This record gives sequence, C-alpha cells and structure tokens, in this order.
Amino acid sequence: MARTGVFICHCGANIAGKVDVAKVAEEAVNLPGVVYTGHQKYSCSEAGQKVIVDAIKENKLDRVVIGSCSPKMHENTFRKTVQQAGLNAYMLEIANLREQVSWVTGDKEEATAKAFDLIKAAVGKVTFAKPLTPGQVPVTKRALVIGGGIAGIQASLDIAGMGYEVVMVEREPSIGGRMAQLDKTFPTLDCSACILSPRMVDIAQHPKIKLYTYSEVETVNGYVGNFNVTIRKKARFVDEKLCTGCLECIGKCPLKKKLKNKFENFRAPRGAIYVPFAQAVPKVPVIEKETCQYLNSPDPDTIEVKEGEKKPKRKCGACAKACAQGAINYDMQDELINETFGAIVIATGFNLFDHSKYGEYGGGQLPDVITGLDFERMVNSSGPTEGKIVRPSNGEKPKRIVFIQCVGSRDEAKGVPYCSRICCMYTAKHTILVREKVPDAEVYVFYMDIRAAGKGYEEFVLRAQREYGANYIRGRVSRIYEEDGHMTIKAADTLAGMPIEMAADMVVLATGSIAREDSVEFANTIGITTDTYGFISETHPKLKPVEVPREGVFACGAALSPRDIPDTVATAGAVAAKVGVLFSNDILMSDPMVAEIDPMKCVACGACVAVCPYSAITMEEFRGKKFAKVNEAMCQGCGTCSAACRPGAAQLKGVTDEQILKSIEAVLQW
Amino acid sequence: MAVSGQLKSIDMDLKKEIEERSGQKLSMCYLCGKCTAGCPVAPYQDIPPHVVMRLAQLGSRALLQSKMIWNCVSCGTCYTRCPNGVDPAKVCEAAAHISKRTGQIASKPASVLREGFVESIKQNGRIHELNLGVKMVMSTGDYLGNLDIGIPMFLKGKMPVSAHKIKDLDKFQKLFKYNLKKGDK
Amino acid sequence: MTKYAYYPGCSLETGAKEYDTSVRGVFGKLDLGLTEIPDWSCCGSSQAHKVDRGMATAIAGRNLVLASDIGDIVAPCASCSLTLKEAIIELEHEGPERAVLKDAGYEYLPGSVNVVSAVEAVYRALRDGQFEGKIKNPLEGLKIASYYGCLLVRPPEVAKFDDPENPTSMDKIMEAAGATPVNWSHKAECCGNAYIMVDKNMTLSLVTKIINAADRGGADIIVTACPLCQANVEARHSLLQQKFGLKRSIPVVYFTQLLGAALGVDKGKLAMDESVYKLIEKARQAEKVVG
Repeated sequence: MARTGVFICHCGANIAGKVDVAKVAEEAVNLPGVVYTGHQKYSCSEAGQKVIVDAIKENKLDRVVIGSCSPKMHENTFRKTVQQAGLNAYMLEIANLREQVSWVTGDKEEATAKAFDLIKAAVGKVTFAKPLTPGQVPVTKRALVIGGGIAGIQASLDIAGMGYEVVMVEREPSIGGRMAQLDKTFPTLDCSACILSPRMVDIAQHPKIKLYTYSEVETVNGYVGNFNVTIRKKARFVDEKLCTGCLECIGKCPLKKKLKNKFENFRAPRGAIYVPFAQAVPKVPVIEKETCQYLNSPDPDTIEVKEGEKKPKRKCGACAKACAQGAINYDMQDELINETFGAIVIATGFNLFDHSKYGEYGGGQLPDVITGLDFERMVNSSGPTEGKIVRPSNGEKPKRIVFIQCVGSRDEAKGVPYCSRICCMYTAKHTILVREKVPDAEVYVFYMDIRAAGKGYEEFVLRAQREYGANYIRGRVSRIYEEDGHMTIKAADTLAGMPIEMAADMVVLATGSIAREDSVEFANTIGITTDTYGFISETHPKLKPVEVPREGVFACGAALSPRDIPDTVATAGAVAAKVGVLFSNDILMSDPMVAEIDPMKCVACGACVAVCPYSAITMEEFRGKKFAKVNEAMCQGCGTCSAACRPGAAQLKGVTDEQILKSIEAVLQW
Repeated sequence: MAVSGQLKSIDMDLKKEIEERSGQKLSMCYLCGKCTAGCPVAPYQDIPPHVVMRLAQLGSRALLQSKMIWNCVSCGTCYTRCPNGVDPAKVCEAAAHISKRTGQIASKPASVLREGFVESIKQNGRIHELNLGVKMVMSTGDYLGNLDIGIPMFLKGKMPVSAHKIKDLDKFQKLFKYNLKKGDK
Repeated sequence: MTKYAYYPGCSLETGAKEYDTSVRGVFGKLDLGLTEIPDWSCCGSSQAHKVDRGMATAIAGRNLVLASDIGDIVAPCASCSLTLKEAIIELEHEGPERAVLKDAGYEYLPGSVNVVSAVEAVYRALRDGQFEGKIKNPLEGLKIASYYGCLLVRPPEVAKFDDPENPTSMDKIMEAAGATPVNWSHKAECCGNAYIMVDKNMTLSLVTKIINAADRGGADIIVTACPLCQANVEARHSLLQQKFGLKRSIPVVYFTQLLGAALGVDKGKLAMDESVYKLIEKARQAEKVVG
C-alpha cells in the first residue's frame, strides 16, 4: 500500500498568484494512497526542504509528489531532499505547476483546476514507481582537445597541469590558430607571437600532452567518461621523427611561388611542400597531396609501355633529393588512430566573413580593398610585405587609409545581424599601427557604434583618436569604387548630417567573425548542436557557458561566439576546471532512468535496435533464445524503444507504460 | 533647413501614419547612414535620408517642412543597400503625402511633377508631355532654361500638341481611387 | 518563336521614338514576336506611386490584365518595366487594388503574366543562342560603356534581374555584337530621371559625373536602356563642359540602336545620327590596324 505525500509549493507568488494552492493541497488528501498533504512558500529553500524531510519521517511516507516549478529547475534538488529523508531518490514525481499552469493560464479557477489535474496524474504515476539504483561507469581520465589555437592550448595546458593526459588534434599543419596570425594584440600591443610561441612550445614538450597536427576527428562514439574517438592523421609525407626542421626542402619545390598560403590569408605564396609560418609547431613540413607534382604523377610501375619505349619517370621529387635526413616519404598513408577519452573539449575557433558578398565594396575585386586579417599579416614583420604598409596595387606608401567597421556584422540583409565584438578594438589597434609606421598617412575610421567594453578598451580607442589622430566618422559606407588610380568612398557623417565623398588609396574592411564553414558537420560528428549561425550551442548561455548538451563534452573560445583573447583564455580555463571536476571521480553514477528489456517478453523483432538513436541496444542470445539487451551506460533514456516495442518488453525505468497509463486514469477518474 | 526648435515628445500619431503609409517598420532603422552615403541627391538637399528616418522615428512635424522628402528620385539605392531592409524612399513619399495634406509643400515643382503627371494620364490615358512640360516650367519659373531641349523635341515631333486619348478612357478613369490601403487618409 | 506582348509606354510613343523603332527592328531580326497591347495606358511610373501607392498599382495593373491574353510583357522603358513588375507583386493577393480593377472591368489573375525589360528579353535571346550567325556588321573595336541606370536592376527583389552592384547583361549583349564593353564605375548610378524638370542643376551634376566616369573608362560611346537616362545623358554637353566640369562629350544611344546596326536593321528604323556611324567605322578601322 502506497503512502504518498503531496507538497504544493507557492513558489512565492509565481504559482500561488494564480493557483489556489491551499485548496489543491486540501483536495489532494482524498486521492488514492495520499496520507499527507501540505503547501509552503518556497519548497526548494533550506526551510522548505526541512519541512518535506520531517513530514516524510513523521508520516512514514514512502513516495512523494511535489507540485512546483519545472523539473528542469529542481528535480535534482528534490531527489536529494527525499534521499535525506531515507527514501530512494526516484520515488518522487514533480508536477509542473509553474511553467505548465500558472505561467500559461489566465483565469485563476482554470489554473487551480489544471493544477489539481496535474497533481492527480503525478499521484497516479508515483503510485507505481519503483526504487531505482544508478549504475556505475568508470572514467577514463584522458581529455581530447580539438583545436590548437589559444583556446585549445590554454585548455590543454590547464588539464595537463592537473596531471591528466591530453591529446590535442589540430587540422592545420601547425598549432597557433588565429593568434599566430596576429601582429600585436589589443589593448596592450603585446607582440602576439611573443606571448603565444612559448605556449606552443609548452604543448609540444609537455610530457602529458600528445599532439596530432594535420589531423581531424572522424568519429565519436560512447558516452561521458568513455568516448571512443577515431582520429585521422593525414599523411604529411614527411617523417616527423626524422625531420630536423632545416627547411631545405621548401626552397626546392618548383611550385614554391605558385600556390597560396592560407596562413597569410592567401596573400603570399607557398609550394606543395610547406610550413605555414616560421614558428610553426611542429616545425615539420607537409606535402599537399592534391598539388604535389610527384604525388600526382603516375607510378612508373603501374604504367604499361610498348617494347623499346621508356617508362615515363615520376615528376619532380626535388624535396626528397634535398632532404639530408631522408625524412620525405612519398608512400605515407593517412593513419586512423583510435583513442578513448573521458572528456572532449571543442576549441575549433572561427572564420571571417567573405567581403566579396558586398558588391558595393568592389565584390572582392579591388586590389586596394583588403580585410582586417590581410592588414594584420601586412603589418607583421614576417608577413608578405615584411611589415611594410603598402598599397597592394602598386607597392607604394598609402597617403590615406580608410577603415570600415561592421563589414559582415550587424547586417541582417547579409544574414549576420550580430555584432562580432572584436572589430572595433582591432581596428583601433590598426590605426595606431598605421600612424606608427606611416606617420604622415591620414587615417579614417567609418563606424556605427564603438564597442569597447573590456578592461582598458575604451581608453585604448580614445588613445587611437586623441593621441594617434585617427579620424573617427560615424556612418556606414555605401560604396567604394575605383577612380583615377585611387578609391572613391561614398560615406556619411550621420552626426553632422552630411554625405561624404572621399578619396582613399587603401581601404581596410573589418570583416565579421563567422563560424567555421564545416561547423554543422563537425557538430554532427560530435553529437551536439549549433545555433542559426553555425556557432556551437552552449547548454545555458548564462550559467553553463562552456558546457554543451552532450555530457562530457565542453567548448571554449570563439567556436561558441565571437570573442577576444582574454575571454577565450578565461573560458579555456573554465573548461579545464569542468574537466577536472569530471575527472575527480573515478566512477560516475549513470542515470538509472534508462531502458530495460524483459527477455521473457522480448520476441527479438529488432524494432528497438533499429530505432535507438544512440545504438545502445544489441541482440543477444542465451540458451537458444534471442532477445534484445540495453547497454545502460549508452542509453540516454529517450524511451523510443519502449514506444516501438509491441509486446511491451522494453520499458523505460521510472516512466513505465504502467505508470503512464495509471496517471492518465487518475486524471480521468476523479 | 536646420532642424530647429525643441522636441517635447514623440508624436505617435504622425509616426504611426508615416509607418502605415510607407509600409516600413521605423524601429528597424538604426541610423547607420548608409542610405545618406549612397543617395545621389543627398548632397543637394536640406536634410539627408537618414535624418528623414530619424525625424520619422521621432514623429517630428519638422520632417513635413523638408525639401528632401519631395526630391527623392526613387533610384532605389538606399533600399538595396540598407542592412536592415528599410526603404527610406517610401518614408519620403509618405511624409510628402502627409505634408501636402497638411498644406506644407516644401518643393512646389516636385509636387507639381507628380500631381501634374497623374492629372495628365487621368485626362488622356497617356502622358501629354507638352502639357506637363508647361506646368513644370511654370512651377519652377525657369521659362527660358529648358527651351534648349523643348524646342528641338517639339520640332522632331516628340512633343505632340494634342494628347493621344485611349479608347477605354472612362474605364481607365475608374481606377483613380485614392487611399485604398488601410490606414491611408 | 517567343511572342511578347509589347508595352511601349508613353515615352516610346513620343520622346523616345527611336527606342521604339530600334526595338522593333532588333526584335524582328532576333525572331522575337511583338504584339502591341491594344489600347494600353500609362503605367504611372514613379510619379503615380508618389501620389498614392494603391492607386498607382491599379493604374499599372490595367495593362497586366490587357496583356494576359497575348503573352509576357516586354517593356523597353526601364521605369515602365519596374512599375509593372512591382504591380505584379502588389496584386499577388486579394486586396483593394484588385477590387478597384475588377469594378472597372479588369479582372486580374495572379500568375497570368510576367514582365521583362528590353534588355532582359534580348539577353534571354542571346543566352538561347538566337544571335548565332545574325551579327552582320560586328562593332569591332568600339568601346562601349553600358549604362543601366537605376530601375533595370534595383531593387533586386522587384527587378529580379542581373546584379544591382555590377550588372553585366547589357555588356554581354554588346560584346556579342562585336563591341568591347568597358569597365566603368557609374554603370548603375542614378541620372536623376524626371527631376531634370524639378531641379535642373542637380540633375545635370549627376549626369556629368556619369559621363565623366564613362570617359575614365575609355568609352567611345554610351548605350542606355531607358528613355529618361537617354534624354538626360545625351543632352546639353556643351553646357556641361562649360559649367559642370564635363571632361569630354561622348555620344549616347539606345542599346537597340547600336545592336540594330550590328544586326543589319534598316537605318531608318535605327534613327541614329550619321556621326555615330562614322564612329563605328573609325573604331573598326583602328581595330584592323591593331589586329
């Protein structure tokens, strides 16, 4: 015989404002199995919980219904409460009287009636509840960090610093990410490479960190504490163990002036064999399979020739000839590596908006219209112009440079309504760098609003304007076109209320931050979601900014949304802390509300195996009887198998068919 | 036209009428100035398009006195490039219409052009250029300045003295109904 | 053979007669049928819209109804083509405009008719291969600035044709006629249209900028596809040179006039000044020397 207690929460005025909680509590006493009812102002508070615990003990209750806010808010809280009173945590049912009643019903009488219905249903369901015991899952204390930019680097160093093994996977031939492409960083004007390189070297040398570059994550299976990941290590065609980083091979490639280097934003050449930049970690070249002449010429052994004819030799091979270490290996293949991890960290960074979408700004065809990243490479002393600021069209010193903010940001018409956050600051930085390197050049910045909310940021922008003489004009630019060897800018000063037609010899567009082009596919591989713009979605924007809805997976940095280096580093540290919390357990309690299949009822039709989204069900055989079996650790408790199972063999613990049907009956009967 | 005076409050009725008549959601405009930057006539006007937008957002009666709202040539540049899909040209048209109704016409020739055009086609079914041309010359007072164009056109037969009247003129004239759309007055 | 309902519009009847005759000539050579819409009326242009937008839609809509028995409309005047296209969008759903039209005896059925400008129709013919073997007198060596103006390409959701920032359809047509289209900055900048009658000086400033841009592009000749653009840009060059800073006087013709010359359309229909023919010949000779 059940001994059920019903507790109705006022939730301040949130529930009590609409629902007559006293009345509901009074009437609930008459429900089958209910021996105690009560109502209180804030059940989740310490005092409120004590009332529940005391009532359970005094009245020897063996199961509890709480009418309160959404279970998403406090189910875990109340599970602990009932446990304190000596009950199994799963002998509890929550009736959502807030989000499902008081917040959505206008009339008080209707609200009270609905509240009572939900209590009836909850009582009906909990009457058939059974105690459940969470399972135990071991934790593999190794972390996978995807992305070798500053976010991934910081997260890896922090996790490894706690003594756990880290594997870092980076898609490009070298780690370093966007920060490696920068010249100076705002607001301190630190040299980016100077503050980044030591960390890059730390990664390479850290005893607990294994680094795979030129590699990508191919598949992720498993669950928190036990992820099985397949990593594809793309063939570099250079043996990392033999290569000394002398770079003799680079100079010998016949294509060395022909291909475009992505690191330099495609504004400087590279060969088929290349390192992206001088401080690359690892400083081991890669050969690009698609463009290498040797690799794209047929193997003579595979060619048939007529009698007396010579077999054509393979093309080139110059790099192998140049290598004193014999490190070039044209026969290398991609390697598929399987590893197990307890946690996965996403630190995959961002891309920049393609300004060729702005036909009014030249559609990407005007040589003297460049992007913020182009400018960053230009002003960097190891970049395509060795740090000289020159007009791309003729190599001359510019007399007037115009910077334009919000190109591909705050623009609904182009599908990017959000603010990219970093551009106001990096443009102010660029104006300072121009005025330092080309003191007699005039600098104009066309902006809509200046976002400078960080520490020292507002002062930095004012410095650019007041000390360095950058001319800030409020107004979006309508058009840029070429005229007599210079650019004509059609702009406006909205504060003075005037249209502007201005000549400039160079234009720098502050292009907005966008998600990586394959972010949706990547999210699918990991089993998480992205927002409308392709940025990784966090579990809760305020309180869980580095978690994602898949347990055991975390995300940091600009992969989540546009942000600067301080915020990136902060979130990377936060992720490391979360991983630390996870790894501080040797075993994890798995959610007991998972599916179980009664082998006696199972007819082995296989429907559950087919519908399970998590591949958690397999067919087993025992003494000639086939039946389906659930892997409790992989089961996420979605209930699809139970819905698909016709004999009713598959049931979701805590939400059985019986419980559901009885709760419906309860509502209909009274 | 310097926008002078002191704003006491936003005239919600005027703002609403402009919004309805123009079909534009005024709050979508964040006054970035891209319309002003690309407007071919802005350099010659008393206020530029983005100020038109701002005055519309403020429901300011000062807007009704401006010449800009009459001199918009409907080139479409502002709407095509606006990051929020707003059409300042339609706001100008709406403001001009309201301005006429309240008896303020800051640019008489622009008003004569449109009213004269509509009258001309209503009378004949097609434009009678000579008639409209005369009206325009009289409204600008520039009697001699257009003879260099007018006379050769006339001689080439490009400005017939009498208008071509269409057959179904009476049916056509039934189409001249004002304020069809909800909220228009 | 594509058959179009022909909507000349008020200006092609009078001020832009040569556009009308050259369009007819060109369409004839390209095997594009033109049946003039009987008793068509003025579309209202941008002026009717400025007086009352609902009324403007009804006025334009009459022509859509009259054309629906004949075929898709080709309206050579850019302003007419845009006004009619806008009317199709406004009349898409039941509303007071459709009611007014119905009361006057014109029942509009959505989807019954489409509208293209002359440039669009000719461009389609080019894409369908209908220029094959028809260019009798290629305009070799002739450098052409294709002037689109506003209403052929803006706003893109209404015009639904070509790129509003860098249109190329007219350039491709002229290239197919053997000419060399030049790259220039004011392809789609506004000429001021009817405001030449409202604020003459403002309009002449705009026009001067356009011709100077064509000059910078190295054009021998400018081609247009709109009667107002043509009228504004071709006139008063000496005044522009004296008072408005015009660098060089460049001849301006309708694109169908030049294309017609290339297709071998009868000179009478093209109504081009002899000086243009001399220019064409001069360019051809210069090209021979270079070539």
